[in-house]
Amino acid sequence: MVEEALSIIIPLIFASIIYWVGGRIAAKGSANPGKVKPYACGEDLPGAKLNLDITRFYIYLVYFMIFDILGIILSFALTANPIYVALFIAPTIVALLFIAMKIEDIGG
Amino acid sequence: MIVTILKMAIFPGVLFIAVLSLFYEWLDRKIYARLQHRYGPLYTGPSGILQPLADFIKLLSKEDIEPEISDKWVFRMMPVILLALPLIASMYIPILELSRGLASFEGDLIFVLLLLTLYSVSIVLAAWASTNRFSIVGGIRTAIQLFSFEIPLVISLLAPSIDAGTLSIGGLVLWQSGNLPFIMLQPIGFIVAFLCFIGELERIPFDIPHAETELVAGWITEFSGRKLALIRLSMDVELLVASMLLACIYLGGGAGPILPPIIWLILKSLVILALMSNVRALLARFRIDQAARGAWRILTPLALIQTLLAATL
Repeated sequence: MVEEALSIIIPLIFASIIYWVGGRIAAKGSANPGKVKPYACGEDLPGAKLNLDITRFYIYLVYFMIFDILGIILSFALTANPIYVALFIAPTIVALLFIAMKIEDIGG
Repeated sequence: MIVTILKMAIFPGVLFIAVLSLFYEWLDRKIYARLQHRYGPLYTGPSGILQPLADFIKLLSKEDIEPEISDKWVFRMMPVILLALPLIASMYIPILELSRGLASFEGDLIFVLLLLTLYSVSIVLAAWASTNRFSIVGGIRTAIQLFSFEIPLVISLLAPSIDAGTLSIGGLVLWQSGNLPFIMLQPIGFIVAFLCFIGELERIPFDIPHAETELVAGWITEFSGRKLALIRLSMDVELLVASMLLACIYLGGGAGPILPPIIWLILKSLVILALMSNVRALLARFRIDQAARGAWRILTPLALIQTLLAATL
């Protein structure tokens, strides 16, 4: 238990130290109104945040959920009879192939 | 306790991994350059071996500019977290001993996969916090790649554990030291995992999230100075962790005659690294829809078929 806790704490401390050291030795530039603008290749883009249409993400998200759960179930099926694993995977492959053939706009 | 802390902080732990990852970056750049008839890093140290370290120190000493409309706290926190996540994952890879890393428990393979997923999620957060158009588009592309490559990666890395009957990385290495390595038993799974790691690492055939010709630097655009130094180092460490993980799961990790496990593991992961550099020099960038489509239509069924074969044969 201690080892797992340390394995998380020590990298965080290491990264924080580098960040802090970077702040100490970094050059201090002069203030400049153009410098703190978001980078835009020299163009004058509207300042507002870019809003994206993320509805098409949901197709991905549903697939992602289904197959992530599949992965977890597989990982817990190690001691089970292999025939159950096979019975579980085979319909999924068929379903996946069916989806891949049918849905044309799967790519974002 | 003290010994554990010292081990984790210095020798097979954080400092060693960071230095070794800089060496991996040098080797990657060198192979990539030689394949393109360039010399690559040349002047800093023998054959330019100190070039990644020099780049790191230079970036660390540069001015740190934050855009005024960025989400300051997330923007400052993410580089630290991005560096810490692959370093945490490296603790669970059996480097020094054959069968266990510095920390290990039954099921640490799942934990390492979770850390690699969190890395991509942190990238999306960092991109969103920097509120730049290029960053946000890059972050969204990272998310699409995460959704595409995560599933075949997880399934193809879990297929060996069905044969070996264990979910710990050390257990998989131990199983392979008594049997054949998994690359001979499950070659399809190795190819799928290899391609998915290239996608997760955002290396050249799948470097769509920071495509220089379209998106300036993608999700990294607004990061400068020490933040950029940390992000660059974190990408190197992630490359090292991915190649070592692949070497542990498919090439038998530290198992080998005469030499100690650490040498074998480094040699095997260098083979993976050389393969990745070759792919990087060989192929041009895919479009995002091609990458997503290929991952879902080709890699995921292949990974599932490999699992089916592993479960039944």
